[in-house]
Amino acid sequence: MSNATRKVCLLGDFAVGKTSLVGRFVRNTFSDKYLTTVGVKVDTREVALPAGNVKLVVWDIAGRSALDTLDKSYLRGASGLLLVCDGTREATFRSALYLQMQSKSLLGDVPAVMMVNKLDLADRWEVTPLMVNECRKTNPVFETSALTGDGVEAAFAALAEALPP
Amino acid sequence: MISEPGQQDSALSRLKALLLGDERARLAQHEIDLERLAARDDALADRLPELIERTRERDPERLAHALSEPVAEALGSAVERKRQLIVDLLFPVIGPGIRKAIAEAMRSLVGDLNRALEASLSGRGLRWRVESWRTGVPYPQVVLKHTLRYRIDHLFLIEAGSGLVIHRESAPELSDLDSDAVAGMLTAIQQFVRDSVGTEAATLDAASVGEHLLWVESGPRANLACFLRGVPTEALRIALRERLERIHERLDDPMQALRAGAADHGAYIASETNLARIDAEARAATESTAPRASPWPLRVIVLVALALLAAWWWRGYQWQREVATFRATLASWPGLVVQDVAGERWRGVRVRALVDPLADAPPRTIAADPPLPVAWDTRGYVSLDPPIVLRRATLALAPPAGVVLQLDGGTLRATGTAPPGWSASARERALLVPGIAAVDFAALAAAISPRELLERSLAPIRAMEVRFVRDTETVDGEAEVAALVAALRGAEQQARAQGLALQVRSYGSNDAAGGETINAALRDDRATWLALRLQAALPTLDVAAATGVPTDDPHVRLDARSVRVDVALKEVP
Repeated sequence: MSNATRKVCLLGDFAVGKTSLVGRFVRNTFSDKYLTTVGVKVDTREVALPAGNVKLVVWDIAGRSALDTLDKSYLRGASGLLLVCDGTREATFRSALYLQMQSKSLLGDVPAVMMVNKLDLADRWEVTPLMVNECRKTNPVFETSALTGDGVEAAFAALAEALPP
Repeated sequence: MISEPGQQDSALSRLKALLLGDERARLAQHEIDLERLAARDDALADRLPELIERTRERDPERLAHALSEPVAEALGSAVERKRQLIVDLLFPVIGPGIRKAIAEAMRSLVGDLNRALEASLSGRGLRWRVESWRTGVPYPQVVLKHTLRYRIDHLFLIEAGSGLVIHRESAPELSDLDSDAVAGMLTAIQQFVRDSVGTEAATLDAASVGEHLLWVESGPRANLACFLRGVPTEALRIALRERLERIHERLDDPMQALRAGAADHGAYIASETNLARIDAEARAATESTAPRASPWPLRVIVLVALALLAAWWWRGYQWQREVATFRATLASWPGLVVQDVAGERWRGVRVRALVDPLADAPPRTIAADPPLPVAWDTRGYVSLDPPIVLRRATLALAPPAGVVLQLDGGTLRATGTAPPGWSASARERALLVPGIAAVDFAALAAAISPRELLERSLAPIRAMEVRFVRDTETVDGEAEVAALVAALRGAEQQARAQGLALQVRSYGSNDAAGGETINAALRDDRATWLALRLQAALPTLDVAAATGVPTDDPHVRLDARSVRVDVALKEVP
């Protein structure tokens, strides 16, 4: 039994690997078809922290570069954000930051972590270390790989740690 | 001494200071206070929203308490002064609410009607009626006992915005369910539906898949999602709605309750969402609101049904009687052999039978009310029924008037009087008639014809005589001739009636005395004497005197002095 339950939203541009990234680390209750029909899929993930377990209810919002009205309604009540970009496409990095900025109007300053995905293709990355370092000034940044799972657990743990009690 | 103007002002000032110093100082202080108050009011107007927000954060209850009275009074004043504005503002809120309430009421009414119709008109409804009569339990309770077959599997209290589960209740034996994911997805779908419809007030109230049913009661801050199986009643929805309203009264900030692990409200929420209590409350409400069944409509229906049944039975009984009577009639119908009678009450009967051509025409209707037609399917046959045999014999023998035929067993008996010729012929032909085995004409008298009767009536005339004393001197000639004339006139009339005529010949007789020559002449004279008188009296009559008649003629008598006539009938040419 978790001590707390928090809603977090997974935001990122189209085809950055959001669903694949978290698919291995959440309890898959529903089909991915909801992403293309309803535009969101909800799964849960329990994270163990020294202060107690936190159950993250992850709203995987269908990928897009800007939030529309429906997306904003999906964001309501979120305690944190998982921002995902594709390291091989610099534009997705900017999209993730733009999505975070858009969400501020609704959520305020909620904790967020940036997941720069496709670490297994690091040699083709367009997202530079400079950009990553700049981003770290506002968000924790994790270099992740949906293929190997690298960095995913740490990103979830960091976000859970940062969530308000 | 005239002082300078500046000196004068200074002096006046000093004087004022001496006289009004204290008042001027207080006045200056008041002016300063006024300026300070004005400045503070200006700042307060700017800071008021901020102050209210800060107060709300620090002590929301105190702020709400402080504002409740003035806000209520201000609202009342606004309603009085700007009623139309208030109406315009509230219309978008009240309208959907009213429509929703009406829709819910109509849905409940339709549901009740459907259940009532289903329960009243189906075989299942009749079984429940019987059970109600048998057990003494009111019919509505029996219906409820059978229809309230539903079960609440899960009940989620969900924070409306985030879709996070505030509290969850599940039936004990059910498998584990990721309630947070389900609640989240349900909230997402609700938001998706709302966004698709484009109306903020639109909510997903119910969804069903097979026997599983999802009911969602939506509130401004929290929703109740109820996963059911079976057929729940509207009372359950009302119970859920009332509980959600009570939860809203207690739960100002669901997210706060959520963050606090619902510690403050946990017991209360658990009590409000207790499945057993909700179920019991819904069933009790349904039973209490179930309409009391009035036995009268059913009794009337039963009485009408019994009356119809009795009428139907009586009509059937009457019909059977009518058919039986009809069968009996046909069975005694001479010349008719019924092979089959098939009938339907409303259409009439169809009879298959053998019919003798000499039988009376069978009936074309059956004496029902109203009379029904009889369709005949007949074939001919020769009947041996006595009436038909007698009728056949009558036709074949054509008995004359005065002959009565009767059939006794197979024997044809004839009584009365018949011409002898007919009797002989009939006796032979009667045996050829089917159904006649013997003939008995013993009681049949031979009939005398009018001519024969006439012939017989002539005999006395032939015996009449006119007597003579001697020669042609009569004993009582006038009287005897008159009697003879009268008898002949009557006979002539009877003969004429039969188309005949009389032929009269007079024969004279004599006694034994005298010679034959003289006697022969005397007989001729006497015959002529009478013929002449008869011709005179009966001129239309064929009268002649028989003269020269030998003595051996039977008309000649040799022992009497008389004259007689011989009368014969002859055909009129």
